[in-house]
Amino acid sequence: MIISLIMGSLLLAGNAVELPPLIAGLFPVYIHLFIVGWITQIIFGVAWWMFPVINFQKGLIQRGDSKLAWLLYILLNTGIVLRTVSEPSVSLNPQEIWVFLLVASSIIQVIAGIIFAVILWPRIKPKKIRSRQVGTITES
Amino acid sequence: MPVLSIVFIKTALIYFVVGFILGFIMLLNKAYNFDARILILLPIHIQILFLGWTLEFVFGVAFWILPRFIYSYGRVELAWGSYFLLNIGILLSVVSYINTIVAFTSQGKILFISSALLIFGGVMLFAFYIWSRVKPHIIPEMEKSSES
Repeated sequence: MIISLIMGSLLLAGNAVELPPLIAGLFPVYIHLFIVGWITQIIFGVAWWMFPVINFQKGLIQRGDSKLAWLLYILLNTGIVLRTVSEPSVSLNPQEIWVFLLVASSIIQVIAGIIFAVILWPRIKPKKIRSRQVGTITES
Repeated sequence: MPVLSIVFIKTALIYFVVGFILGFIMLLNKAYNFDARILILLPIHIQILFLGWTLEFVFGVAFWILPRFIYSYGRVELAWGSYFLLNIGILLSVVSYINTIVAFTSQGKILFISSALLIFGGVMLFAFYIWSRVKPHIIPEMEKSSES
């Protein structure tokens, strides 16, 4: 969030002063840092924490496959970082390495997006109410 | 989680995946320059992710989490109306953008205006509904007496 806001401030300065081409070309990077890096990640973090759990037993709360969740975190952030580096580079200096990194970032991000949906989908469900009788659970 | 929240959030997740796939296609196009017409996906990508993913996810969570009326969610039909208006509007806007390239109908302007009105109506309807739920939490009497 902080990086994207700094970037946004620099871009806003472009209304007053002429920016170097590298900075001026950062608009799509800024938007994606903000929307994917900040908003989507905070949504996922809070949803992982607060959405109805998969399973609840005394002393154990199962929110889903935590390894998959960690994989999502790594893929999403790797994709964003690669995009931040490669997208302006492809525009300014379209060498093979930047094209390769841009393609890699797009593949990584779309896989991360699918994993995101796969993890959250089963947790979007009615809340189970635990009744006072042991072993009795009903859905609200 | 109430039914309407489930519907809003699952729909938002579908838009999320579709939006990411569109972004993937556009980023590949940026790398390899397949076809300039792929740029038409950009406004669709933006609409789907801002309105379809972010806004609907927020609506779904707000409907679930914000303080309720005692034992009731209030006029839920307004929120349902919002859901349908918003989604029909978003889908119509996607059709409108594709129509600018494919030109399967000459009624392009009417499609755009209709989609904008539907989306606007959906958002206003939800805002009208949720306004009354933005309030301090009221503790029901039986909880107050057990606490004292």
